[in-house]
Amino acid sequence: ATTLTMSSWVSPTHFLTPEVFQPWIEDVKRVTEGRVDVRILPKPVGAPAQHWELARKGVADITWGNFTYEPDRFKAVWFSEMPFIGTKAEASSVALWETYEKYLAGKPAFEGVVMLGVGLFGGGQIHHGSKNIVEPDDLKNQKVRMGGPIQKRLLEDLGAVAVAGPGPKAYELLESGVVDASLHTIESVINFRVEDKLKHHTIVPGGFYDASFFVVINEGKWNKLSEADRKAIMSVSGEKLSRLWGQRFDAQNKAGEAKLRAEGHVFNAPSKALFERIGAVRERMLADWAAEGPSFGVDKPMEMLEFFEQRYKAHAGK
Amino acid sequence: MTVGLLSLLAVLVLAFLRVPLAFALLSVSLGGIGVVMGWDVARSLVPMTISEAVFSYELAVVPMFILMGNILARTGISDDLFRAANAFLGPVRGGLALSTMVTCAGFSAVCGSSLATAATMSKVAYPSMKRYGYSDALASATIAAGGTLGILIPPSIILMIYGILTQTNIGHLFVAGVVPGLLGLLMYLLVIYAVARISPQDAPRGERTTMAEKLHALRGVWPFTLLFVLIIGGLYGKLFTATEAAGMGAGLALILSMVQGRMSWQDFRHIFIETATTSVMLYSVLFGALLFAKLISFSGLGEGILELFNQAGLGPWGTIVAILVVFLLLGCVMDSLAIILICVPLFVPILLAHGFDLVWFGIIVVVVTEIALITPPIGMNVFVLKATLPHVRLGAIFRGLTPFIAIDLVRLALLVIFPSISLALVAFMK
Amino acid sequence: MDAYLSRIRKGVEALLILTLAGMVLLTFIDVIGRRLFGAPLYGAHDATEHLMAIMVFCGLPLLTAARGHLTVDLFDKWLLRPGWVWWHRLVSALVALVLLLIAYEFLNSAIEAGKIQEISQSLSIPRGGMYGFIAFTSLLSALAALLGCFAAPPSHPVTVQSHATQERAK
Ligand code: NA
Ligand code: NA
Repeated sequence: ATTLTMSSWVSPTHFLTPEVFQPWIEDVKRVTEGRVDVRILPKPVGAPAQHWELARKGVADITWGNFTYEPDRFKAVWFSEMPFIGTKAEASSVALWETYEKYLAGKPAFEGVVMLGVGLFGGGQIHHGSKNIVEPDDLKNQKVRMGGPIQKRLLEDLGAVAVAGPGPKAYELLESGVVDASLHTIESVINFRVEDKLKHHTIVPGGFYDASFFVVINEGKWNKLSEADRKAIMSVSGEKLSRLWGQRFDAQNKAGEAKLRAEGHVFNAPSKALFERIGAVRERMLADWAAEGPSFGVDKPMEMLEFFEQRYKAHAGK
Repeated sequence: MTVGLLSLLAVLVLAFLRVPLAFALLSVSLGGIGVVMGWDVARSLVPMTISEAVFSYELAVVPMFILMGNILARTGISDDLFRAANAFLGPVRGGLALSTMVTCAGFSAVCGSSLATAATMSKVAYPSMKRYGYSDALASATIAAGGTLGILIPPSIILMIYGILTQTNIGHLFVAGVVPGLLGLLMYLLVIYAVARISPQDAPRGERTTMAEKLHALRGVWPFTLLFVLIIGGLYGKLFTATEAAGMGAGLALILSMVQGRMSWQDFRHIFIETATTSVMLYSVLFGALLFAKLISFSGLGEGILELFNQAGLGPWGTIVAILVVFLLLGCVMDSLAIILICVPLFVPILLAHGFDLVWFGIIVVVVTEIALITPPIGMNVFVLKATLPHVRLGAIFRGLTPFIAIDLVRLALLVIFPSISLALVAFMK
Repeated sequence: MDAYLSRIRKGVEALLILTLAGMVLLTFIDVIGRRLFGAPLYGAHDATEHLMAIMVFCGLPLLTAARGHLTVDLFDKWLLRPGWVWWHRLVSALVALVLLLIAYEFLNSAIEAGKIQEISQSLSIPRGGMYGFIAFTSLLSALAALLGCFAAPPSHPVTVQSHATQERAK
């Protein structure tokens, strides 16, 4: 039997471990009839942003992470983190997997590993400690924690002060007044334990932004598995793992919203003006991104985006 | 598991054979990871581990706190503190020792290192105690023990490094250290009072001071008070993060000493280069410790030991006691920084498996290593004193320390049995 | 030669002071800007990390040359006897070897960082340059350690211990 090591940078109690990774590991064990097992290391073997490299270099066999933790390297997937990309995580995660397969697999940026699954988290939203964010000017001069190039540009266009910081640091940043607001999924407001600090939520239809994730395995290690095992593992990975990822985020976001509403938090919708403003930033960012297509090896970036959106609609049942 | 165990042994042997700790850790980890995971993995982990540590904002706290302590030590703010404490406590029997202890606690409140506290106080307080006829044993033991308060009362380099190794909130660790630190101070004061009662020849009475003298001495304390209020107040009042507290403290200490004309260009240069050098030393060791932590993770040593403990029938509390014994034993032969760097990555998964609070355990670890700093045969605080006061006999210092060590063990037991001593303030802060 | 070395040392020391002072200044501006004017300094954390990296790797050759690394001096009484000179040379060689490996691996990382467009999170500073710098100063440190193989070994126990202890006490 082969035991693959997995490095994960969220705590073993974070829902991803029991609800996504453990069931997937069980599936792997089952379909390989026990020939392949996965051991999650007791501690991550690198910083979150290093997790792609950790797998590529074989430090851990399997890792997961956020594509844009390395801001420029995976520019090809930036489209999936844009506003309005869709709040149904299951649909968007599966659509991202299909888009990856069709347009991105085999591109130089993705070499050295085998993609086991991708995922989106169903729309990040704006969460403020004390203020309702409804109009375009409401975010002016507000300090907002964020974690990626797209979020930064959105916030700056709205006149907010972007403060870079990883999600798990949100508590400390809010507590010490470094920021007034923070960008998260609803689920993260609870899972990063900042629900006492963030009581005003602005839910942008389609999402204010999103975050794209990968689950990868070192290519060398993958090739050492027997063909039967590779096939078996792929039967519970790929679209299936991406779907599981999205489903769990959908469930967490739904439960999170119910909990926060029950606790009396304020939920807002953006005004038409704010919504249009976000849409205008989206168009500009997409145009800039598409112009860079050759640099990240995609000839027709907008066609890739259209394909994604069409797949999303199909899965979301619209 | 075997590789992990052999590596642990190899690190200890190499370290004792005078291989710089950083390189003992780095070379053994490289070898160990090479054996477990292959040479390519070991090699690629070197730059990844180093850049993970060096591009980490939390770690930037280390040089800035060291800088603040160095500024205070070099510019004589600590002398003022001692004078003020002495104006009030001097007339009591054993008063000079009492004020030394209070000054140690106060100084350590703004200085991250207990060795620095001991070194500074031996220059500030020892001459006065000798002048008034204190015995070498009591005078030096007071300073050595007082110095250990430095790594508990925040800010504390040891707590910071613990926080970084275990990914525990450093601000919470600092706040958790306050009550146990004050408890330590109180118990030490009781020890001095008792010693002065039992053998008065060791601790004569000081001179009486007038109210005017007291008030005058108090005036020297304001820079220190300002810094303390800024740091602890800022942390507790959530004005800034622990890292920022370090930068603010260092900046304010710099401004204060310049405004008061206490710092020449030479001092400035000296303080900064010294701080940088110390930081580089700490970083190098940290690189090694972080790589070693990865080896332990790969080799499954932590899980192996946990299983061993479970098979031996040690419950959660038996495990804690076993771990503490390991720390105390290592503390006899190693300094506290080395112990924390080597052992904390090993034991933390075990503690987590038993559901222990990592903030609480951090305080316990610090108290244990504090005790290690003053227990024979090796106690770094004692050696610092010996280096600055060459004529005092080692035996005398250790003899003087006996009652302090005894009361420390009592405090350790209290902290282990009643976690709320450490955690109540943190809970209140949340 | 000596004059040249001392000028290098002066330059490195100036850089150490500047980076450390820069870190304090950045924190000060960031916190005061945020608390009093509601305007934090964007990328202050990122910049601080870079300053720290420069400081640490600038200081590494100096520390290595001065044999200032943290060492357990428990058995100095025995280990610093003349019969152990060969061992200390071996230790210096080991230190040099590890530093050489660090230099080599960072050189590789520097080359790779360009290829994979590795940049810092908030200020988008390319990592390649930093890695190259680290490789360079690690190489210098390796050379400093190598000199230690041929230089006089750590001598009199008392002076060495008090030196080491002072280093740490500071
Ligand atoms: Na302290
Ligand atoms: Na000891």
